[in-house]
Amino acid sequence: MVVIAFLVPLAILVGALAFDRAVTGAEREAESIARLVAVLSPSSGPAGAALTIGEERLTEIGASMILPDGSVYGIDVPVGEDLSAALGGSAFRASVDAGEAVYLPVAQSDGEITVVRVVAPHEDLTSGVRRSWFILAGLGAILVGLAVLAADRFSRSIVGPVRDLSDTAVRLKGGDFSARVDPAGPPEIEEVGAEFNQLAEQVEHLLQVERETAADLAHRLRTPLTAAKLDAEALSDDESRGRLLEDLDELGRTVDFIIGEGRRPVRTEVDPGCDLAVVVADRAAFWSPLSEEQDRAFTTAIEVVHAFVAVPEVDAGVMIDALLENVFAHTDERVPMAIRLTSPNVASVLLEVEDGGRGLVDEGAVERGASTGDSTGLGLDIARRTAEASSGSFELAEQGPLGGARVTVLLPLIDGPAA
Amino acid sequence: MATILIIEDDQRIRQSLSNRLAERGHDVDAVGTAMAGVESAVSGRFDAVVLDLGLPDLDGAEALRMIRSITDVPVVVATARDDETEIVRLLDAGADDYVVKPYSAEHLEARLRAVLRRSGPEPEQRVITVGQIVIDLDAQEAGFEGQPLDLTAREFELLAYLAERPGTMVSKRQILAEVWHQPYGGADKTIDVHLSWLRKKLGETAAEPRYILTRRGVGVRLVDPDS
Repeated sequence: MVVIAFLVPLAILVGALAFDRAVTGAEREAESIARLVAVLSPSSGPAGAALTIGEERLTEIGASMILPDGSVYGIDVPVGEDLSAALGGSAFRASVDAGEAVYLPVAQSDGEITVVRVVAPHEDLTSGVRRSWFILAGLGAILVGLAVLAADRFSRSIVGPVRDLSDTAVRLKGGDFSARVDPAGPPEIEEVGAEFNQLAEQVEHLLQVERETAADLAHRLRTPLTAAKLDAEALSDDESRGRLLEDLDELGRTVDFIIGEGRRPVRTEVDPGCDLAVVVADRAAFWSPLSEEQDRAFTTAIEVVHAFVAVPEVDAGVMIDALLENVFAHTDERVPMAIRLTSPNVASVLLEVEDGGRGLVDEGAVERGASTGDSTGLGLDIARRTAEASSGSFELAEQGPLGGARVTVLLPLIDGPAA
Repeated sequence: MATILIIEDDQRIRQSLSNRLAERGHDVDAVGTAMAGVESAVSGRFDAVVLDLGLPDLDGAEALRMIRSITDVPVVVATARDDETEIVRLLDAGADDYVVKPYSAEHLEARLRAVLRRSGPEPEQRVITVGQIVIDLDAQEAGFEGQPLDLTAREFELLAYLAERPGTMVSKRQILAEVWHQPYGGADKTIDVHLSWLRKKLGETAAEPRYILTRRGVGVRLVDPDS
């Protein structure tokens, strides 16, 4: 818009300047001839002056001399052209078919008037205008192009870092606390990026401190737990001793679980991910002899070639073991079971473990999912936390296709190692 | 019965553990600092030492190095830390075994028995034979009916543990504590699946067992089917 607002008046101005230049030239020629007529007429009369100036010269410069008697020297004057104002002594300018005509009256000593008429032809009135317009149009196109390029670069310098910031915020929200922005762009955006990184550092640090504190506290708990266990062993009442030892064992398992969770970031740093298809195949093979012994139909279906997920191999193995062990622990022998790995979409992989048992209602959802009696439920909790730690989800369904409980773990896929 | 030195700064554990081991017939002495422990350990009076790592005057690992520089007395480290790196470091520093807190007196006593057995007069070759199963503890190899058995480390440990007590019913809790170093119950199925693998490799099944006999709710034992 700025270019157009600048170029259009400039184009008009160029046209006006060309017009003025041609008209001014015609006026100068007319004045020059008028002076000659004024000098020559007293001695040789206007006709003599016209002859002295010469027909050829007048034609050459597009001039005419209209004498008081009506005779015309130089170029022809169209019939019917209104010369009355000039003959009346007025100098003026008028548009004619040939261009722009300048009329200049020259008064004789006897009062008669000779009119000098000079025409600035159309080609002189627009001389160079078209070329100038082309140059201006070209210049305008270049300026517009440069402006578009500059605007694109400028918008990229803003949009790129803002998009990066947004993507990083999404990763952070998804639990990837290692996500950082590369501060770039205009100073304000760069500053926001740097502040964002500091915020992420702080969040990660606080979480790490929290985990370490929990793990440290758990370590500290192991000492009094040992003392309590040794004291419990001294109880003479078998029932009380057994119950207390069981409670202390469960407390110990919970402490171990907290410590394990505290170590998760270290494991993730050492091993950022694994091929879940390989781990599922390995763990299913590991548990198959027990299923054979218990006369269970154990279906293993791995419907993906590779499934790289952001779960350390150890954690993935523990998660799958926990899910399969849960089936063995809570269903009768000969009850069928299945483990399945599918890809519901291009971005995620679905792990399903199900059985043909009585489902969660009969067995009690609490028993299968949380802490009670001789089942701690920590196995399922480990699986849940493992899924959530890698931005996945965990679901415990009441009834699966086999008729019993069904656990699903949905995990986002990541890029596998470079071949 | 053995003479045992406990180096443990927590007064309650020191007292309770002393009582529990004494009840089991051991002669127990307990101290609360590393320096007192090192001083006692090097006296040569003790058959084994239980060493806690979190001591007030000196790091337990340092105390272990001091003891080891003077005497070969078996040392079982009792630690609250169970990360593998730490355990490997302690074993490399001269510990004979370790137990992770919270342990039971029964668990610790089993560990002490094992290290005392190992520290006793060296048999010419530590090979256990149960029927057609032959286990070479030094070479960490096992064979069955004259053929080598392809066992994982855990399967070998489990088979060796059962073979060391042939015919004895062992509870899964004991197995968890002494083979898995896990002082809690509740992981029975993990043991079951390892037993399944062992049965498979020994060519038997739970329905028709020969060597590995399981009694539901009680435990498991390894027997010679031909005896």
